[in-house]
Amino acid sequence: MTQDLFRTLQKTVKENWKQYVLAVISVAVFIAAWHLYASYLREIDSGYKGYIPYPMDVAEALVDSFQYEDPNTGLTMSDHIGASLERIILGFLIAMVVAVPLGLLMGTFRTVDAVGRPIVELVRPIPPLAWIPIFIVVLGMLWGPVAIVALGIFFPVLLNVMFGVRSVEPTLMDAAKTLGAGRGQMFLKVVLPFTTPYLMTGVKVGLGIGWMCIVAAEMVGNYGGGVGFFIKDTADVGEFEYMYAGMIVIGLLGIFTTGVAGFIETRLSRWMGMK
Amino acid sequence: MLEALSMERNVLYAIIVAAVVIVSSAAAVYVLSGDDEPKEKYPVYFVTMGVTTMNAALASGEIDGFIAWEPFGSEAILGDIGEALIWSGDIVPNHPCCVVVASTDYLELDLGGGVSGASMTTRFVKAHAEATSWMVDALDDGDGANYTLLVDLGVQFTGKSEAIVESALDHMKYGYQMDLSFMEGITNFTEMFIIGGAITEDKLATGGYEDVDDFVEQYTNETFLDAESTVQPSDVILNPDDPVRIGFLKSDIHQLAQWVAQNKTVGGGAKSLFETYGVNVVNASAVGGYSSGPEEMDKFAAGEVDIGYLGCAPAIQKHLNAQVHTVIVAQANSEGSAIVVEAGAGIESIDDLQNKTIAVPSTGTIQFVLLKRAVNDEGLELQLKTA
Amino acid sequence: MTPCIEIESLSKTFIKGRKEVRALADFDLVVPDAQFVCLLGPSGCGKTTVLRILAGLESKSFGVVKIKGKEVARAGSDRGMVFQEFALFPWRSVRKNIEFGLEIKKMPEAERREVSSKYIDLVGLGGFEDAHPKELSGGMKQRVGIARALANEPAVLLMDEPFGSLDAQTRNLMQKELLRIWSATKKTILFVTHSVDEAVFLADRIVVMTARPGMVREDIGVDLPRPRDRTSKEFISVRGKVLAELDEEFEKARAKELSPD
Repeated sequence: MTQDLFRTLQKTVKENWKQYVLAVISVAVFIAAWHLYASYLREIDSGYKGYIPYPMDVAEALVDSFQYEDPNTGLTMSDHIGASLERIILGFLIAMVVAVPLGLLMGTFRTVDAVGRPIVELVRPIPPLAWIPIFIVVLGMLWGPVAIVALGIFFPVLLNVMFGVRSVEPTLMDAAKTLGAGRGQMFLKVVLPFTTPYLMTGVKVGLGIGWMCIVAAEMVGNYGGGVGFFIKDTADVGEFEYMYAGMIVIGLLGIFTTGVAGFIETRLSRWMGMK
Repeated sequence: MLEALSMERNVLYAIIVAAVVIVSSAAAVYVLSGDDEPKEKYPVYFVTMGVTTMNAALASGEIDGFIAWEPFGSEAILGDIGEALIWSGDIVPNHPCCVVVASTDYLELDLGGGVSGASMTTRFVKAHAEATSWMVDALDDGDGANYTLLVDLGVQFTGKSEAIVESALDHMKYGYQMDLSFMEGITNFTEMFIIGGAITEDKLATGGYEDVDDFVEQYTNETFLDAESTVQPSDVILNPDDPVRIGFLKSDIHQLAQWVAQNKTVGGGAKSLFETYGVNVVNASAVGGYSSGPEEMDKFAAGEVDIGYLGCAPAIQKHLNAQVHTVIVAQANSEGSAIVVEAGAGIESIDDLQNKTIAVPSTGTIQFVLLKRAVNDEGLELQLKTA
Repeated sequence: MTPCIEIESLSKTFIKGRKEVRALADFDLVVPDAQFVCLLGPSGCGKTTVLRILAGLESKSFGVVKIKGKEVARAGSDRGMVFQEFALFPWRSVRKNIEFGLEIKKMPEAERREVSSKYIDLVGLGGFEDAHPKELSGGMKQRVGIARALANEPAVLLMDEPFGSLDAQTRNLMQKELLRIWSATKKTILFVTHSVDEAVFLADRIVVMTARPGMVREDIGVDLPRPRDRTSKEFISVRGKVLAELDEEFEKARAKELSPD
């Protein structure tokens, strides 16, 4: 399995080497521009020069954060990542457990849809971040952030599953019927497999939102640390090199998780023969 | 067959003997070592959360206590949610809390006509000093008219009830001098911040300071206080077009002085203290106050605040870590925080805090430093609570 | 012998918004076992509706519909259907598609494999058992469709313009293949098509339907021996006859479209 993965990776890199080179160049240009701006601010002794540290200092802080144990909390960046990951995974599981069955039900049965729709449409536009203070007070500092993440992941998954169910081609349903399938079997053997790639799309989108939620939630109240906590903590005392380092960590984690989800999504679609 | 049986029995005897030996030696070790070790001490746990959510968290049982600046402690006490375990003045007497900070960019500003940011700052500090003295006298006044006015002003400024304001005023000390006690307190806090990682020690050098003492020396600018005696009242407002943009924290009763200095009655009826000294002021924040010290420092960095009141912690940390162009020009208050614990939970001493969870606003605050001090002095550890 | 298909006075009315659309009216048809019947007619004449009602995918408004003497109600595996859009399950391999109906019947795995192998060979897809639909050409997909329906051993095979999506050459090929499969399995086939040529090539009997509301206009027997030569005199003659019937109905249908009902 790992050999396959490695070979696929090699293949992808070989096929897309031009894109990768361009990506590296663009990142390098960005860093150079950042460095120049930071220099400029120091030249003119701007009041906020400390808020734009040199890229090198951020890189140093990034490395340091993994090695250095904070004297007050006893945590390193690895610990923070672990804490945030824990909450995201928990929130993710909760969201999936509720959203998938609900999405399947709402997509299939008009009555369930009629009951659920108004609530969904009312709550959906509210950004999960708005709920943070309430959730943390009502649910506490462990389940508050987890609930925020769950809320953030819930809607994309729910809507994509619903959409998937509704998108099942009617002829496939007809074919299943003429092959003797009853409602239950149609659901298990046609609707479910058909919806899976849509589900993965929802997961991919949801995970992106989930990271944003966990960072914001951790800034409001927490225990056990977390990358969001780290960012707020370092920003509060003005250690901006570390703050940026924390932001980079979030960015990378986000890319990684959504990348994995996207990879699974493409694989699944291909296997389903739908791409 | 008999031989086999006796073989088995021998093995059995051997095992029993071995077991007895092991168990008795373990018991011996335990008994012998038991006497030398003191009874195990549990840590005190902390979590971070915004001050405005602490009351609710205490009420819901999410936390066992919190440490915060007034009026949040009094709010909990008077709401029957919490009781004061210890006031910060009892942990470290006279510890500095809030300070008056001026933007060094503002100080260098020339406003024309012989007026400069520095000259306005001198007058501002004068008004601040007089307002502070007025408040101290009013507090000593007991039931006098000034006391009532002070409470009214407190209610206006914080939006909290009279009872809460009175309780808060009871437990704090206003002062404007940067005396020896103040300087020692600032030095002490700075060292604590460095040890606790809230300040990167390298940053001292970046700021051009040799060491902590050098920093404290340079960062507390006494010229404005020293000039106090020479400042005369002014008949006209000296900066009509460029009001001093004041920063302060919402509802933070420690920073009442600037509100008092804007009040006409305090100023004698016709003019406020600021007006008496010819100072035009305006709130820097559109919503009348910032929600945190770090936020106010950000506004300093953005050039939106000329003179501000805030906690000494962010004033020190963001200046050193992020080179914000500020300098301390006066004190605002000392003490005025408390460790509040759940009412009726039977927590009567720091020792009782073992295994309990206390909320702090953030690890960069002086409240955290004070909590750590109180806990460590009792021989206990302060640990971050983890899931 | 009970006829395979018996349709008596079948009518179907759809409600579209405020309007009532009479798709079928008084449609009669009797098909004996193992006969190959083509349903031909102008667009909207209801020929697909007949098929769907037989399959149980659509309900009837009035009339009697029997398969092998039993009235039909809901869809079931005794009436296999092949679709113009193939309707293969994209996530299943060829073999798994064919085994779908057998899985429904809870047939054990070994038996399923035997049956699916048999039909894979019958439709000429040997070697492609594990391929997925997206790897197959149109013709091959339809072979899977046919095999899938046949694997359930239905009493009748209902085919709804099954070769409509294929190019001319593949279509011709598939027509020949269908005849081969039909003679091997002896199924009763009801085949809906637009193409006169196709109908004459394939059917024992061509039922020409009227324009909407659909009923039987003409029931033409095609007595020619198979394989039929498209260029032969007889073929052309039958074709001409059918076309004549059809053209009139086409005109009527066009007229109806132009004047709102």
